[in-house]
Amino acid sequence: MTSVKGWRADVQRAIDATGDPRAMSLLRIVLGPITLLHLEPFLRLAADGVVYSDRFTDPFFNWFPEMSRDLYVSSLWLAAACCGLLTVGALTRAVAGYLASFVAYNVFLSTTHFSHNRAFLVILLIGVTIVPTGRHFSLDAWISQRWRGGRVESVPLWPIWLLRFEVCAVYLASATSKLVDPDWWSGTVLRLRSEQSTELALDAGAPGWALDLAVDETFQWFFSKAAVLTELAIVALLLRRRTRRAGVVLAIAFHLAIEVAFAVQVFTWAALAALLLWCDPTRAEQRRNDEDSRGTAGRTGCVMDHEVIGS
Amino acid sequence: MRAPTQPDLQTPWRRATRRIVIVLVVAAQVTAIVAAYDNDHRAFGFQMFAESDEFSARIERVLVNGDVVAVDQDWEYRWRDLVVGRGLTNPSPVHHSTRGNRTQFAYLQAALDRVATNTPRDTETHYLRADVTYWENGRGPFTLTLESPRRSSP
Repeated sequence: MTSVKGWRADVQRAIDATGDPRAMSLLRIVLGPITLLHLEPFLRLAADGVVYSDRFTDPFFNWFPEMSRDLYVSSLWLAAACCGLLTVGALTRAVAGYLASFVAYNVFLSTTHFSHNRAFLVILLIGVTIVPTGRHFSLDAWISQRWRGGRVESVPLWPIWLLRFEVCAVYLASATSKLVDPDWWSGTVLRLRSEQSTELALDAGAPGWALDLAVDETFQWFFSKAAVLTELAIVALLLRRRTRRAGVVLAIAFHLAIEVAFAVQVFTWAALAALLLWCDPTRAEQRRNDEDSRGTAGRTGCVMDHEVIGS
Repeated sequence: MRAPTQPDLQTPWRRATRRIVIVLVVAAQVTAIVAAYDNDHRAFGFQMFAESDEFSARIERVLVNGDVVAVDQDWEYRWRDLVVGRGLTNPSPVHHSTRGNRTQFAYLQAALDRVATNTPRDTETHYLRADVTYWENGRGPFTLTLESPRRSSP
């Protein structure tokens, strides 16, 4: 009973906590090029005079408003420009809000635009809109520092907790869907996918031994299980403060392996960027100062947790 | 480094709003994940690499007089101009269903519906039909027929 009360008190305190948002500012910086990469196929088509309505579209909702052709193309190019502004941190919140809105609008224009990596990107963009990420590492901050003097500002941390929940939800949902599918668990899905992409992989210069391995039934029996368990392990490791760094390392290895093996649009980069959510420069600085005072400096790079400031 | 406290962030209104938003987001995400198991597009369900399915489809027009004609024959429209992308431009060869057959069939049904309702110069076609052959994670072939709505005034 006491532990339940204690747990509830911890949750309440975390919800109202404030802290250092600089990791989110770093996330904002990398989301600029990632969003541009996401927009690239739409921009390429627009440059050739083609927009979504020239192709097959299937609206998610019949009531969903459609822009005129000119307005859509203008909005698309404005979004591309906003990717640069987001990274630089100019008019940060407005730019982040516009990008989140446009990317979400574009995704919901047609079921053919939808994919999991784009949904994940929308979630991250909403996150950097809610958190005032322009207060650090940005042109906005540079200007405001000249006016007011710079300092690390404390912000509510609950959007970061929510984004962490979303990241864990993605891994858990993905792993669970594979776990309950006998074809996935047995390795059939991955083996067939590998067979289907053999020609493309050969053209891309993949070594023959790797392709042979990828279509091997025994290898895929083990590999599929390893993939599912890795996704579950990433969540388990990320959720515990003491194992968080191992979780980040495992996630980096996992996503880079996927990027090498499969085309997943911007998911690899968005997922890697999202790992910044577990990083807190304030604690890293504190730890470094402590180590300096003890003469053990240089051991700590980044601490994988937020310090709760105030409640 | 400790930042100054911000008492304005802890008003009862803000605290309540914060909790409501968190509950709504968590509930929406969990609902989306569960609903994805019964949803054609699995929106926000994050079922990555869900299947390794394949399909091919023969698209035909069923005329008012009962004749059946392939869409690439004797028609004032061209299917490949009307339906571009997602393996539907030329669905006759076997294609990999990038997001699984369930999603692919939803695309195909939407394409039939869209073409049937956006070809006003066609006065002969009663409805469009797709005869689909598909494989589910290597099992099959299975067959399926999809039809557009009947055109009320062809």
